[in-house]
Formats: sequence, C-alpha cells, structure tokens
Amino acid sequence: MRGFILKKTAAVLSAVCIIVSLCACGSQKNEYSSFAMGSAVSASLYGKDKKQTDLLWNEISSAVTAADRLLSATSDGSDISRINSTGSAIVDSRTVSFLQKAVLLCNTLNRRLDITLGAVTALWGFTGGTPSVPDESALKAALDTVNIDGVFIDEANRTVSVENGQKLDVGALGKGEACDIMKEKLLASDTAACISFGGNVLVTGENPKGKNGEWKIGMRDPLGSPDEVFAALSLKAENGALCVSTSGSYEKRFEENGKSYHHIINPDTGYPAENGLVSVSVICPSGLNADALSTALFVNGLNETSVLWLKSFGADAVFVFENGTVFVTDSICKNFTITNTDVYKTVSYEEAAK
Amino acid sequence: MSSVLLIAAVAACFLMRERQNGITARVYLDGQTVFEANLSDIKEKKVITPVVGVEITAENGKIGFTSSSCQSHDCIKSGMLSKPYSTAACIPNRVLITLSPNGHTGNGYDSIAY
Repeated sequence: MRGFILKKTAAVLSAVCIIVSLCACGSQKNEYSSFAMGSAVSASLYGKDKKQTDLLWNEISSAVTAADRLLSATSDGSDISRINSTGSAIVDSRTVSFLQKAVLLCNTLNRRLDITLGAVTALWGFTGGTPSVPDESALKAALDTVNIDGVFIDEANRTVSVENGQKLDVGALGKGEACDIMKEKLLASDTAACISFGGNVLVTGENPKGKNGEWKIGMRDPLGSPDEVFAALSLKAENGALCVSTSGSYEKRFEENGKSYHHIINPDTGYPAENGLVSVSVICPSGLNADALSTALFVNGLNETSVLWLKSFGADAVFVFENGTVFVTDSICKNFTITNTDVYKTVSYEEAAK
Repeated sequence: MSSVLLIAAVAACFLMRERQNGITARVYLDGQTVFEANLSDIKEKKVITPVVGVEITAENGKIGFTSSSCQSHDCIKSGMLSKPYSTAACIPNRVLITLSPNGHTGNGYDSIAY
C-alpha cells in the first residue's frame, strides 16, 4: 500500500514538473538587432510563433529605415538634407507630419528645444566625431539663425522652407519618432516587446517573464563607467506602451583647454546647458514627447515650469544632479530604486530645485 | 513508468537551470547573428571577424572590439564587455555586440536606459 502511494506521488510530481517546464516555453523571447539613425537597436519580441515575430520585426525594421531615410541630416537626399542644402524642398507627407509635431513641441516647451539649432550644432561637430569649441564670432552668427518661427510648412503642397542660413537638426527627436513607429506596429499586433534604440527604451504590453507583468529597466550610471547601473525602474505599460528617453551630459563629451563640454546645447547661448544636471530621463507613452521633454528639461533645469510640462504631457521624470542627488516625480517613486546608494540619494523637489 | 517520468522531470528541471546560468554574447552584422556563445564557455582567446576590417576578441569572460576600420574607433573605446546588458557597436560597419543574461529576467534587467 505504502509502495503504491509512493509510486502515485512520484507520478503526479513528475507530471507537474514536466507540465511546468513545458509551460515555461509557451511565450518565447526572440531577439533581434539592427542599426538606424546612427544608433544600434536591440529588440526582444515575445511570441509563440517565431515566424510571425520574424515577419513583424522585418516590418518594424523597414518602417524605421524608411523614417531614417527621410529624417537623417547626414544622408544626402533625405528630406532634412535637401531642406538644409537648398532652403526649401518638397518632402514626404510623413516628414510634413513629423515637422509639424516638432515645431509645436518647440513652441510648447518655450524653445528650450529648437530644431533650427542646426548651424550651431554643426559648428560644435558632435555628429562628425571630432568635436571642438567653435570660434566665438562664428557661433554668434550661427546663433542668429536659430528661430523656430523661420520654419514654414505648406502642408497642402508638402513643402518646407527655412529662413536664409537656417539649418534643421532633428537629432533630439529622431529616436523618439522611431520608437513611436515601432510602438504602433507592436500594439497593432498585440505583441509584448522591449526595445533599446540607442539608449531610448520602448516597452509594450505585459512582460511575460516579469513579476506582475512589469518590465525592469536599469538606468545607466551617469557619473560612473558605461556598463554600470545606478538605479532600477519598474514599468507597467498600462496604456499599452511606455518610452524612456534620457538626455545626459556623459554622452559625446570632450575636453578642451581643461574645460569639459557636452552636446546638449542651450538655444539661447549656443553653449552646452549648465544647471547642475548630468541626466534627465523621461517616461512617457509617446516616444517623441519623451525625447522632446528629456532635452528641454535638461536645458531648462528642475523648476516649476519643468514640472508643469511633465504633468501636461502625462509624463514622469528622473533628474540626476552632478552632486549625486536625484529627484523623481511622484507617480514613479514607488517604482524607482537606487542601486548605487554610495553615490546617489533621492531628495525632495524643494531640495533638488534650490 | 513512474520512475521514467520522474527521471524525465528531473532532467527537464536540470536543463532549465543550466540555461538560466551565464551570459550569452552575440555578435550581429547588419541584424544577422554571426556569432553566439555563452561567455563563460570561452576559455581560450577567440577572434571573430564579422566583416573585413573589424576584429572582435573574446577571452576570459569578456568580449569587445579590438580592431576596426572606422574613423572614430568609438567601438574600441567601449572596451571589453563582461556585464549583462552591455552593448558595443561599430555603426559604420554595422556590427553590434550584446551581452544578455540567460534564463528568466526576474533577477535582472530587461533593458538599460542611457
């Protein structure tokens, strides 16, 4: 009798183990990579049918490549390049739509972000890979061309014109726009995914492998080495998708004559923004808005206007200062954990903003 | 029959645990995987040439770009990677290195924002 019970128990336990191990293989993680907009893209798409996720990824990749061809300032023949070289061009309807959104964002964010900064950013040389401090008089002349009101968009004729000497630089918004393109296709196919696009992160749906369906995002240590993380953020994409965009002074940094310069330019001065911040990460359902906000907030600093912008866009943010203090907006406080407590600590708005 | 099932179940659980350990290094060329290995399995120095002009070295649990025909050499400046979720890219040559932890992500990150 005892032997019979033992055999039965062993059989049941075995069956349970086999079922559990089989169930764990249900939603497969499929990994992909590509390049676009000067950035590496790493993607994890979850699905039971690999062929279907392969097809979906090809579709997503093609759509992002198409957007890159329109918006890249460095590719000859792109819509942005043609506007910059001739001052006026007939463009793709998608470019018209993108630039309309971009101009609106620049104005809404008090021109702390300005897509007509192209002549200034070109002088600094961050895109070319050999940045240097520009000559002061050349910088002043370039700064005189910065004026979002100089962009004229004729939607009916798909024509975009800029004022004499103006150059468009949409680098601060390109990855966010690409995230939105990817997001639409993932949501349409109800696919859970986690994608890193040059440091921007897009999550869609519930994480099949995560606790409570949450995605766990590490945040790069802005004061440490590139492979160190200083905090963890748990995200649940309740509206279907969330994007994280970070503007940080640690990227594309260089030194000249003993002074350090970063690439996030204040449109008022033509010089890198200096307000004690090393990074601002924005979490928002829209990739484009997250991108725009992260740049504008870095330039604007932490103040009441910045907090108001975040609320009006339905976004949250993490502000990290040079002294290691961190301010996190209320809604994501409980989802945010500092992992490097030796260097960083969270503080209240009052303490961070003073 | 019960013994066979029990052995099969134990073997399945063991295999799952095995897959959960370690870090998988992948090298992509233009989106296609050209190299994949568990980093801890690489004992001797291994050189990978995904495309002419680019050399990647894997050794002692680390992997990184060691030679490139690109101008900026940003890929080489990324250094030797060893931590999960690290990436290095040679964009002009369209080569990407990623390190992913094996198994469930409950203890690790799904991605890194930077």
